[in-house]
Amino acid sequence: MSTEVMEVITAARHLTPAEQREVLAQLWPEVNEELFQALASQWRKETRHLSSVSQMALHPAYQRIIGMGEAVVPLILKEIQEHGGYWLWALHAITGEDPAPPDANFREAAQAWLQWGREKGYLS
Amino acid sequence: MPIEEIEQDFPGLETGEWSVTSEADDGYNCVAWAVHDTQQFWDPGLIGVRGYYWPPGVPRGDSVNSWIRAFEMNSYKVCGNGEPESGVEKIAIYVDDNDVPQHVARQLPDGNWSSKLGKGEDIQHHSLEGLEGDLYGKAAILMRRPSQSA
Repeated sequence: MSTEVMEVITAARHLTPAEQREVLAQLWPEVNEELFQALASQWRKETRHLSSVSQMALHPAYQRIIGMGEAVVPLILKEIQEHGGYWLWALHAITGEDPAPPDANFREAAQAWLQWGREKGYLS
Repeated sequence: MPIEEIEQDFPGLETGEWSVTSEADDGYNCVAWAVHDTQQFWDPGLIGVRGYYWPPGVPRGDSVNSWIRAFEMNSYKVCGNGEPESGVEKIAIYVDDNDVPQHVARQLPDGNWSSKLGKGEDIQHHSLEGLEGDLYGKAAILMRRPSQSA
């Protein structure tokens, strides 16, 4: 383990788990993205034929992605652009927001989240 | 999705005739497909997250009663078998070992069945048994209504 990593781990001990995740995401964004892609890929494969959104969202990989916090919001939005939705629950759980109109269908809600992401600067 | 991946999840399909009948589309699911709706994703489980539809007045929750009530509101009534009948449209609800609904298939006029597979494609399959197994459980509840296409 490098000295840099050891120093960060030592310094991060007094932080909350959420703060630790934020520090790690900022220091090594490529590690964060790599982990996200691995989890998202696992989730897509293992939930590909499920019908229930609740079951999809309770999948361990999906829950781990939610646990990665705000740092993965841009990655989730990019995932929606490239592979479609089913991330509305995760985005809502992480951000506490819901930009979709009350009567939006699934496609409209996904588009509303993408627009929200552009306005927040998460998407170009 | 490659045919091999579908048969991997549903090995029962390998023994009968089946075919992919649409591109993958994440805008609707099997429950919507059962009532000819390709514009909404029907899901009873998510209270408070917008983008999912469940008929107003029908209890939420992944329970057989909730699914049956939703289909009853679309003129379906529980029936005893999946044999094709002239002028009648049937659906079959698959439930797992805990009686949690996992899937619903819709019968076509020729007696074959049509299913939307999760986030993926629509398929046509000859028998209900083709989708039975670890993922969807068993086709346990049959419902019928007068054909809507007449």
